[in-house]
Amino acid sequence: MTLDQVLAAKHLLDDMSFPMFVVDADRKLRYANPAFREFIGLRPHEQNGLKSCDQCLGLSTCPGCCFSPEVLRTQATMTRAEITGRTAGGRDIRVNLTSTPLTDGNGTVVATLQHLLDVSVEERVHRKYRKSLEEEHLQRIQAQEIARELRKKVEELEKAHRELQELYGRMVPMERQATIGTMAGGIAHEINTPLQNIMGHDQMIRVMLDEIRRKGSITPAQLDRIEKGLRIIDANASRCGRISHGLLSYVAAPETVSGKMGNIIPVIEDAIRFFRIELVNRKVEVVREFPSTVPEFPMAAEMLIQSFLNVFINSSQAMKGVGKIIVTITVDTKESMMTVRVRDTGPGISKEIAEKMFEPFKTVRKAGQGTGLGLFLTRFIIRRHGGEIVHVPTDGEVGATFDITFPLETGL
Amino acid sequence: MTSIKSILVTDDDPGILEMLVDFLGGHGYEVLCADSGDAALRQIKEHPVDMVISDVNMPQMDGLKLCRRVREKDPNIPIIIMSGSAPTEQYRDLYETIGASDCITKPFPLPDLLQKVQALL
Repeated sequence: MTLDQVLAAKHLLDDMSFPMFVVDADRKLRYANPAFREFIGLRPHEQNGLKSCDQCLGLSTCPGCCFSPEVLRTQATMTRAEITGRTAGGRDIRVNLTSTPLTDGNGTVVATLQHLLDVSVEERVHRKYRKSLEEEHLQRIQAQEIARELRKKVEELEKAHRELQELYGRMVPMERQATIGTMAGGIAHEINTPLQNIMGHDQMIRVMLDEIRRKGSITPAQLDRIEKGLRIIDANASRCGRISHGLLSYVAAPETVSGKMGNIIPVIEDAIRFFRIELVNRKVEVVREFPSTVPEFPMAAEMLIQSFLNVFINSSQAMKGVGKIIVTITVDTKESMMTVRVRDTGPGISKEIAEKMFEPFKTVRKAGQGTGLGLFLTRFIIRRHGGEIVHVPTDGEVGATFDITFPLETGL
Repeated sequence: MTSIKSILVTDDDPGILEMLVDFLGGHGYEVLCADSGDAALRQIKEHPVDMVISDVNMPQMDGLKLCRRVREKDPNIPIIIMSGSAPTEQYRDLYETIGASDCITKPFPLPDLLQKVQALL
């Protein structure tokens, strides 16, 4: 590029937004664009006769580059980077100064075209940009870490959930073992009346037989009495058998519901019978409101006995052993549903407790009085039957109400 | 000469009632029976007795309530409670508190009951 060509294109340089100027071999300022004049605080008429090194563009350290021997020697464009200085406006700056050799028609370097790049501005922008880039990068890393953490937590939760489900499955038999204590008391009590019958009538018959032997004859009344006594003994022995069978089948109940059809009324009756120790020791009366017949549905009867027993025990404890438990069975043939409603005359259930009572280990009882699993496992069992147990808010009325519903037609 | 003593037996199990009517009747007592606490109170009102023997576990009014009601009306009448539960100290205290004279745990040999009855009458 020749000096003449550049000077001829001054109008183009005038429009450049970055400072540019031309210095000849005598270091005289031959041209300064408006951006440069503004940069060094130079009015247009002042530029004539200025030497670049006099002013050195207002820079504190003369880079000596505008017409350096190096440019002359290499005839190549060169850049001095990071020259510090102060502008006419008093701003501390750093610039990159680029010198491009300009030749005459013979190829001799006669001038240089200089242009300045204010790197302090560029750097500020770059720094800001870099900062936001870094922040963005950091945020991205943080987001990735959070996502990773979340995934980990979700996996942990899923694992815990699986473990809990397994544990609950194992707890059904455990809870059954726990309720056996209550049942054993009920059964012992239940069995003592038939045993009394057997023992007493046996003794009566023996006394009578002694008398018959002594007299050598038997009266029709004595015969009747012996026959009646034996009938009572037989009936009560059967009763004992049923009770022990009930306990054994309860203990050995399967954990899964088979398709065996069953009737809910004997299930509830069995639960009431096992619950009898509570009825006796306390003052709890069970009122039955049952239809004469109910449809059967597939059930694991022993498991359901445990469910109802749990509900009864809860009611009895809530009533502090004094009150009524009303059990009502309704059948909705249209919806193919059966509902067993269990109401009590206790203090009822507060909203806070109602929200949590089906959760495991939520117990309002004192330590040792319950496992905290009763209602939880009750629901577990009822749900295995495709049913549901819900607490029915009583709106200020006395007592707690639970609705236990079972589907009638659907399989399990 | 002593007059015939009357005993009211209360139990919701018909086999037990039959047994006690026959057994105690066979030992010279007049035996009345009731299958509930309410029926027992009505019986006593109509026909005062010398002793009450009652089961604990009965529908509606149970044996303990019956015992308390009988004791309110008559501070001296002997009352024997028949219980299906083990005769723990706790129960003995309870029966004493409500005014029972004695208690016996099912199943019991009939002569044991007779002994208690004879001791009280």
